[in-house]
Amino acid sequence: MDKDATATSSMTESTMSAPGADHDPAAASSLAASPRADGFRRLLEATSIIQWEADARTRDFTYVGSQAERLLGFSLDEWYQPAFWLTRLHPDDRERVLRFREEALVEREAYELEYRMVGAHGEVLWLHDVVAVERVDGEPAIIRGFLIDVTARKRAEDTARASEARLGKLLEQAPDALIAVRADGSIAFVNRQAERLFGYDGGTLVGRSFDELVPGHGKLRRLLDADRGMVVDESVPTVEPGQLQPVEAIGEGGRRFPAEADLNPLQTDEGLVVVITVRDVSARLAVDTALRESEERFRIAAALGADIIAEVDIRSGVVVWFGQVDAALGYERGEFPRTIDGWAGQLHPEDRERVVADVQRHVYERREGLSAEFRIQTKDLSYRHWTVRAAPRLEDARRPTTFIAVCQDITAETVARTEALHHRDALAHVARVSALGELTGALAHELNQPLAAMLSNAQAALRMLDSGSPEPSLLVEVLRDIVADDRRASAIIQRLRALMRHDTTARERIDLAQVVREVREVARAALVDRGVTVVPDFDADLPAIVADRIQIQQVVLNLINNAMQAMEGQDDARLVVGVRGREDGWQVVAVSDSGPGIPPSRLPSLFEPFETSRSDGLGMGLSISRTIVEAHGGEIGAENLKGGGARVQFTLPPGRPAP
Amino acid sequence: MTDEATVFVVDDDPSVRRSVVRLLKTAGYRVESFDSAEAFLEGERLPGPGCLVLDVRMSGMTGLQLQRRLRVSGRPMAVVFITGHGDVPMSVAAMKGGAVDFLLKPFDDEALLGAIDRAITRDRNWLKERQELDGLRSRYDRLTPRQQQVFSLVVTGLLNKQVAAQLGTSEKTIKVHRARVMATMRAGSLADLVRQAERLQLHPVSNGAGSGPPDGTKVQ
Repeated sequence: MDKDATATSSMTESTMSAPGADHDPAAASSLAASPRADGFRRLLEATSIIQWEADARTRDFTYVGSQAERLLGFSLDEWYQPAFWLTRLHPDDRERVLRFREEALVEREAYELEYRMVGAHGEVLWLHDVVAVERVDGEPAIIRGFLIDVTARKRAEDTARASEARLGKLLEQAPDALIAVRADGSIAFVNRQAERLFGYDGGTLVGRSFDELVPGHGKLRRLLDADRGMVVDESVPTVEPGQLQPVEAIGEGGRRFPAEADLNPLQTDEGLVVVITVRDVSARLAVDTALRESEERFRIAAALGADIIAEVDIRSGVVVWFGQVDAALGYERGEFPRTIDGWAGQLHPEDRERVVADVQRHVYERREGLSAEFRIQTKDLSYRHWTVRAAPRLEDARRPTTFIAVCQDITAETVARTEALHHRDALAHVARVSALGELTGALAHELNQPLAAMLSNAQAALRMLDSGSPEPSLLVEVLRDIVADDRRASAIIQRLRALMRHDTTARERIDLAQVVREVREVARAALVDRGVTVVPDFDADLPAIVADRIQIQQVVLNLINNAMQAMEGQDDARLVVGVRGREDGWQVVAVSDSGPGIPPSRLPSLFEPFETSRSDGLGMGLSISRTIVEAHGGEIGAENLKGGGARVQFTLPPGRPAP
Repeated sequence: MTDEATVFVVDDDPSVRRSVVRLLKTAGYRVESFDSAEAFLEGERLPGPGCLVLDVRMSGMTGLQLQRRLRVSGRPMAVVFITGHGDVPMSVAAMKGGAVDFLLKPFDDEALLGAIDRAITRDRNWLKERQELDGLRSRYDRLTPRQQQVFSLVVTGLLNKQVAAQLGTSEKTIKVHRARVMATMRAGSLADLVRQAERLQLHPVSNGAGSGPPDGTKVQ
């Protein structure tokens, strides 16, 4: 087994073929950065050559190429388990390998060895392991390398020829058609897939010129010329390895077909070998053509329709507009920006931050669809209302980078909607004002009561003073009455102003229980006057809600007034007023009286306008109360109580958290 | 019967009621107050001249309804309406119903007191008339049926002879009846008698039938 464990520095150098990377501790990173090495990496990934990195002492893997999963049937997670490598090492090879490793780690910068490992299902694989040692303070710290499945070669060792055969076997396992070309342009090896692709029998291609298969391949020519030390035509751009280039391939019998080829030069101990991957793309081209045709149809449909469709590549930020985006916004053809940033720059300043944040979150971060509404500036600096619905293209499903966006101009609808909203507000105002017209009489009546009382009191006081010997205590009484009536008058005016106010933004965070207590205070005099006993029923520590304080007070005052009227002349009049919190956060204001109750026939229409039991009432109070409560998102209802009397209560939704 | 006038204040608004009562008391009136029309109707009312300061819009019976009730009750009372919100139909109804005034709240004390004075004067006059009429009626009731017949024919301007012919008796007998009538009715002249007949609303009767009762409500 000694020959399997041969460690030679020349072997290492040729395998770690990236220039300058021979003994470089940063070999892995410079490998990744080099375009040539990138191609090499791709080749590795195309085959079963596995890159790895491990702790030098334990050889616990810190990185393993993803093909490793296929190799032994263990998941990557299992590969990363401590002592994985050691455990899966074939028992017969263990002693030899560990001994060799111990020596090599001390003596060498790099080494290679071959050994067997046991797969998940007990299968035994031969692996060729190429190891580079990175030292820290002279001690081996990290080892990196490649694992190559050489089981096939091992099995065919007797017939296989040295390195070419080894490469050949590697290539054979690749899914694509692979052709290895020597520096002289002759074919050193083809895999079965390549023979099948070009239509040749096994082995007949080896030794022939690659030019016969793919004539005039400029890049291959340059690679080979450069290798022979010839001057390279610098004007021809260098194509990076790993990039598929369209070529025309010729199969058996002169059959020509479209193909793509990718060249990967490999320095081997036999000199330059270029491994060429060839793919028949005739089927895909047919699909492409069909797709182009359907895209053309799509483009025409989009141009004819009102929708503006865009394809957005979020990596490059390029937007391809399919609809007449320029015409839609008053620009000359091609004038509107063709990038995401350019588009964002045209958004209305008030919309930009929101929409860009949405795009960032949904499209860039989550790679998911988006729908948004925004205003976008036209060339004449006016704005159109647009909606956009964007969805990732289905073909790159996992982490899409291309999005299809459908934009619609909804300016007309938006304007109509805004007007409708405006009309609704105006209508509500008119309704309120005309309700006011109905109410003017009632309100004037109500307001003139305290005014009349104040005037009469003041004039009575004047007469007392005129009489020469006024009784001071009487005068104090008169003045107190005047003050009380003045307060009553201004409260009425406040209610009037609340009714007339033409905005919906008077809502604030209020302590509902406190607001209701205030109303009870306002009504206190009247309640005392009528001998009504007031029973408070408040939950403690209720959270604030958002509501219009004056409107809610109006409702509560109205309910208390109604209750008082219902109990008019009653001996043991009892009023329960309170606020309670419900489990769902809503708060319930209830006013219960001990009156005769509401006639069942009136219950259904109690909250309708002009519904009143009083001959001189207008019947607007409960109707307005309902309007106010519903405008707050709540409900109002009335019921008769079992023990007699009626209860009217309304609900208000929980307050939103403070902005 | 005392001659002191009473002002009855009926308003369901406690503070208005309180202030008006205070004002009127300060102005020297005797005042009674009620918080509803029903309470006023049920309550004991002082006799003598008086007037009503009445709110139009009240829960329960309104001021206008109370005014109507009083008008047909036999003891109509001069009403001064006060209202927080009056419209034309309301004021027309009030004035047609015999209101002295229709005041909009807030009202000046002079306006209220002036209206109350006029109302009380009217009530005094009404009471005086009522007293006179009552006296006249009691005297008329003391006449014999024959004398009442003669009364109603004489005041139509018929001569004694014509009356006698109508009643089928002698002129001399008529002359005696007529003198008794003049004396009982305390009439100094035929003209006095005619005025009394008007106030009693006597109607000439033919064929010896008696006149209708002089209560002014019954039409023959």
